[in-house]
Amino acid sequence: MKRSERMMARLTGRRGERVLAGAALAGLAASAGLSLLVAPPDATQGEVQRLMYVHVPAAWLAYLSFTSVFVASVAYLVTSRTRWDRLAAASAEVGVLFCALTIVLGALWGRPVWGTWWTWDPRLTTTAVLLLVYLGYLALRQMADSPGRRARWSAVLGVVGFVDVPIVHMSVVWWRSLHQAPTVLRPGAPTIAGSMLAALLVAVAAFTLAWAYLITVRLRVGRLEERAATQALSARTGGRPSDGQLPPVVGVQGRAAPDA
Amino acid sequence: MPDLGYVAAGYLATAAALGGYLLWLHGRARRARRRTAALTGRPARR
Repeated sequence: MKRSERMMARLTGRRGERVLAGAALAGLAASAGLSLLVAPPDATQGEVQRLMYVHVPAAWLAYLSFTSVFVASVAYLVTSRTRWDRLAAASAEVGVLFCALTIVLGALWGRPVWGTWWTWDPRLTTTAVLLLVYLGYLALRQMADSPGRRARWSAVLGVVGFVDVPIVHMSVVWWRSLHQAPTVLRPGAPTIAGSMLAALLVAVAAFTLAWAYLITVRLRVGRLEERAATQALSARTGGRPSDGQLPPVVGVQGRAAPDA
Repeated sequence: MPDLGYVAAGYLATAAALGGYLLWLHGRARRARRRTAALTGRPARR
């Protein structure tokens, strides 16, 4: 086993999971304290601007998740190793959670600030498209009839669907938008007060730890579900591979089983 | 002050989404372990 694989195994082991859970909980508690009690209210938006400390991390984690889907999908297409397919599936599911959360939090922010829950603004529309693309990705994973085909089709969608991520980020620059322009991830210095930036960075770090924990748990659930599916198939075929459609988890050296 | 309602709703929605998803994952893990145990007659590994 390679050194990187050993490190990954340690991180995704039960103990690593517990450490991540503790760190994420402590980080989220610290972030809530900083965001709600320490950071000052915004000069024009007032208290409602505190939603930024959850809305921005949620959006960042949606980007991170879909980037992870993209990288894992490319890696799967190159290597055919099922671990990449499992990582792509886990990242897509967690990404959909954070993308939906971003939209809900944005609507809660938009109502008092813009006077509306939703508008067909470029940023909002491209984010809604992003959510639909990855909901489609998860639906596709349920539809494919063989594990090898499922992994390959979803890897292709994981690569193509990623095109929308930079479009979402640049939408406020490319088109006239009601949504504010980037204040941190932009050329030049951030246009945000220092105390607010500190609270935001702590929130981003804490949510990223929570994301890592969720991915770790989701990967374990994926392994358990694959094992259960393998046992069910094995029981149906009397322990013999009948049609070459074994789940990828039993493929040789972690490679996906061939399609029928 | 009414703005605080939106802030509270946002933070509660975030906590509910993360906590709810985690609970759902634990439920899926439990069901998968039970299925494996029923098929093999022994508890699944972690």
